[in-house]
Amino acid sequence: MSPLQTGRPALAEGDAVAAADTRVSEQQGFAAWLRERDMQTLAIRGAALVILLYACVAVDGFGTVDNVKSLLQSVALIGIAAVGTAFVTISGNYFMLSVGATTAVSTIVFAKSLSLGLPLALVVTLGAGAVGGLVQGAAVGLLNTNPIVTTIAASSLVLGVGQIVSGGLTVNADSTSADVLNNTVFDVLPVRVLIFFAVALAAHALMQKTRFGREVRLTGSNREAAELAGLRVRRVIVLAFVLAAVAAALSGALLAAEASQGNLRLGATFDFDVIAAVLVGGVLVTGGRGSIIDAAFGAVFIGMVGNILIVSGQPYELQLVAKGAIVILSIALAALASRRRR
Amino acid sequence: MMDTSKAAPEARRPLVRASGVTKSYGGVQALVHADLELLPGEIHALLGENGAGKSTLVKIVAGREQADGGELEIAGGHADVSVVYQELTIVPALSVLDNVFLGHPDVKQLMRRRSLRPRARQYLDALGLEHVDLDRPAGDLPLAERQLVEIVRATARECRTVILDEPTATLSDVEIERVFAAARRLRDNGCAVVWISHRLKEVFELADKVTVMRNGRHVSTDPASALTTDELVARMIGSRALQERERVARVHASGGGEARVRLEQLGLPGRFAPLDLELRAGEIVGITGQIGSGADWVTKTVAGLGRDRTGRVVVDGRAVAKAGVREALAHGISYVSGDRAKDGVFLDVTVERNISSMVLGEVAPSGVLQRGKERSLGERLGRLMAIDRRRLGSRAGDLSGGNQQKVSLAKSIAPGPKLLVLNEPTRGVDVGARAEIYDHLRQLAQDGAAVLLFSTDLVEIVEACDRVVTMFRGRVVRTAEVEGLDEQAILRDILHPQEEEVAA
Amino acid sequence: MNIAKLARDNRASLLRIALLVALLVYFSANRAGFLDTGNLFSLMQAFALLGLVAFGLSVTMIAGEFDLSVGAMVAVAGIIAIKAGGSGAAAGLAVAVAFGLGVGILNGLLTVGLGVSSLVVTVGTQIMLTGLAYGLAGGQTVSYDNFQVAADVDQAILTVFSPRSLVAIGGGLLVWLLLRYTRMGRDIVATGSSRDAASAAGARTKLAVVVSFAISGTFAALAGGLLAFSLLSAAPTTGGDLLLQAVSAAILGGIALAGGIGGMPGVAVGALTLTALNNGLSYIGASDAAISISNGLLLLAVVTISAGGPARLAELARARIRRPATS
Repeated sequence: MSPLQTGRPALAEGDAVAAADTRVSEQQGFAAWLRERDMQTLAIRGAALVILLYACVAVDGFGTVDNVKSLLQSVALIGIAAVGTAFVTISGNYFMLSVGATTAVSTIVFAKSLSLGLPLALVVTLGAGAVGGLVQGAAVGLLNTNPIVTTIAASSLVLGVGQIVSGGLTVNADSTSADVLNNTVFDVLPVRVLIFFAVALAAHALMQKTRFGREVRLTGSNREAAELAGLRVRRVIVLAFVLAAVAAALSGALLAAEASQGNLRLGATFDFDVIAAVLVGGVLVTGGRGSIIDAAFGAVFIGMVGNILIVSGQPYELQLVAKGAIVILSIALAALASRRRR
Repeated sequence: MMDTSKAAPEARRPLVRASGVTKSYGGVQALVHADLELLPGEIHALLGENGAGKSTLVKIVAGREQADGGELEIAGGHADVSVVYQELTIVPALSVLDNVFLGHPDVKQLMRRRSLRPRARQYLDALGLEHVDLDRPAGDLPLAERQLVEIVRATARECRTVILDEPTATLSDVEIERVFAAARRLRDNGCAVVWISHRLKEVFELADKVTVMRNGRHVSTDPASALTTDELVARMIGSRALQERERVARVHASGGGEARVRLEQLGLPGRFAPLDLELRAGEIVGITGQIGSGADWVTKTVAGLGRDRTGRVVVDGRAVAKAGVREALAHGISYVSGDRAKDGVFLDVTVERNISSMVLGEVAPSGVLQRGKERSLGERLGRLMAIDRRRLGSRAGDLSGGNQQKVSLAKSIAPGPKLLVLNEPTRGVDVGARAEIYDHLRQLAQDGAAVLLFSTDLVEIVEACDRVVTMFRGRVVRTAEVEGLDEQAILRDILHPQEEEVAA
Repeated sequence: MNIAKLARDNRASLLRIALLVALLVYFSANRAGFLDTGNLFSLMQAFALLGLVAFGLSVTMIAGEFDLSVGAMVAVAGIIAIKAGGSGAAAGLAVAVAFGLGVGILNGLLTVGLGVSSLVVTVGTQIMLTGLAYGLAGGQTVSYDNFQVAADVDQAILTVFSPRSLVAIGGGLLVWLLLRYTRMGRDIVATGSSRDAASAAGARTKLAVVVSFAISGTFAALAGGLLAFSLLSAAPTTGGDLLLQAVSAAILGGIALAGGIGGMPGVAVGALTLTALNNGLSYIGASDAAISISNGLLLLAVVTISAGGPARLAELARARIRRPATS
């Protein structure tokens, strides 16, 4: 006899009874709305806007169409992987430290399977990624292993497998079949970026509008409560890892298409960029909060900062330091914001 | 060792003197007017129901909390007060020796364990723990022995005021005797021992003086010899107040409908012995018992927690095949947790999403969430539970305790359960919200569900339930109908020493 | 002394030692010369790096935290040591160690001050340190000219040891003494075992966390600096697998991820086991890939077992058998 089907007469006029309940903590109005928006995401978006405007005006060479295209290109790959990793983070499992390894090995797998034609090569690559994600997800979700250590271990495993598959050599991709991935649509929007947008939107829809997404969020918000509520916690965690791995694999395929080769050394600092994107975007490491769009936005922000540094002539190394500092700053912001909330 | 002066009691200076102490948390007034005077060389029992303010007063005397108002004088300062709290603070990975001296001022940067050993040995032996190895990790000890080590830790501090909060909850008779002996020894050495317990038998056996608190106020302080059990009980719950108090739950069912749920020899090794119980539609059954009675585990086990349970739970003729929350849910058993912050409510999520969290299959029939269904579910249940519509989009963690509990309830009612199981349904909830919650439970029962709740709040048991099951040390003491019964009788029954004789 | 009881109580330690011995036996049976003094020296040299880092990391784990930045610290400390070693290796080392100490304290302060998981803080520091490493090195390998220093740091002592490995052993010894005989050590264990209980009982939990990170940073920096002088070069990519191996050594050595449990002797055995494994594998000609894979598998196995994996697997299997239909 679910309340959904029966029409039960209301016990008391909800509004009248509850209106009498004036608790200090239940403020209404703008102040409450402001508090509900994550301070951190607000800060990031505000800062991003400011930096963007500043760069357009003050930094030579930033505001050109070519530069924006190049910026979006580099962001796309990180963005796709970040969007996938966000599922793991929102589910309360911190991050997948095997993202870099998965992407790197995926370049090899993709390059090698291009001889089967583009669609099949993609299937093989994404499938391989899914297998890796499945193993990690099973360990964390079913056997309750620590996610950080598990993904560290998986990283090594995956790289080892990649070394065997590649024989330690660079694998040249049969460039013609993958060319479509390097194209630009309407001469403005690179296919890669289009894919990034599509993936981000699809993932966002998955998270916001499906039962699965809701279960991911609830599991990350409070795992014990989720178990008590009868949610399919284990299944959700396994799937989150699979999604993250598949996204990383997709990035690898695109990377291989761009470089026309598979090479384990491609994307050496990929891990960092992805984690930074997720954290800076406002996806809280404690789980349950933040959205896919946040992660995508974080990727854009990190990419933008890096781009500005390059365009203004700063050495490549400074990028990493800057990214690390930004990560720590945003963690601090998030911590202070949640402290205020309590 | 303290040197007791043999002067007359009036001449002894109090070790602790609290008068008119007030304290509130958020909007809740935990202490309205608390008084307490502790003289050296006495065992002073502190009695009162849950919510009477005992724990708050203890925290203030110990220095863990600051009073809002009133006076507090402690002869040797907060450092001269040691407390053994209900929640164990034994560190499992440390050795027994280290646990005994954890926080002890005598421990320097370099641990000179050699000099500490004989002292620890002495204290442990005095409590009958001769067989316990000083170097074993404390986590290896059984729960009862860990409790004793905590008491040892308090005595090792050699403070003049020692507060023991439910020190015998998990102990057997033999161990209880040892704790009594330790308390008496402390008293004879000139310390003031505060004994907080629900067991009136202990109070009469041990205490010199008894202070009763109710609703954050000091009610009375008398020599133990001058009181009877009835008087004590009356002071704890306010006998006149009960008759004057507006009955919160307006309806009681009698007889009930068909038996929807049967517990057949249901037991959980280590927690409670196999029991039989019938839960009928339209009926609210309450289970109660002190810490260690296993009562809270009965509800948890029925809900599907408690993996190594024995016996069966049968719902509408179908047996629940195995343990597990999802299994129980599939049979129509829905659980409301006793600790909403820990696992009852998703604090970071909106009220609406909390409410739909247990029926996602219905709200998202083909995997896609249907916001319209979610909204209408939230509104309907919100109305049922008197949750303001405007709150549906608020973060659950921002609501008051009472409203959070209503959300927790709404969430568990959403699946349309055949049996609703609740642990401490109104813990930390104000009187107004309590009344509403009892009404909702009654409505649910009248709509055909069975309701089983665990509570240590005796007033709640009497007001909200139709039948009461009392438990003591893992066994059912008695099952009684509430309707038409003298409340005093029920309460006396639950608190009175005879209850413990019955179980023995 | 009841031998049987002694054996039962220390069952885990005995198993650990047995594993190490088994590995040594296996490899020496497979290829002659594995247990030659020359190879044993190499083993200890590898231990000098891994052991020291593992000791430091273990302290943070015992405190219930985790230092993800140790690998990056080894790399950047090596570069700092060489760059600051112009006026003598000792000075360079001192600067590197001071840097490690400072970063460690920063890690600890951020963790307790912000109330954030140390995983997140150390990921941030890891990124920054890596960036710093690339920045200082200008993206290349830096080298050190003074060959004498390498000889000094690697000279054979008692045939199989060297100043480097002795430093590692010394580090482990110091931490062991700290944990066992000082109040701070006890506070560290208490914090990891049950932070709330420890704090309520008067342990200095926040200070304990900071101290444990300080130790971790210092040890990693020390190891990195010594490594740089031994190799006479330092690169930003050093220490790639180090984090994984250090964690493996720690968990293998009985350190619980949850905190509070484990000691240095176990970690030493764990580190030795790992160096023996990797050394042995390459000795018998295994490829880098094989070593990578075996390291990964070992960590996965170890982490699964310590999380009670086998028991859960059995439980899951039993559940499936009893109820074949999925819910």
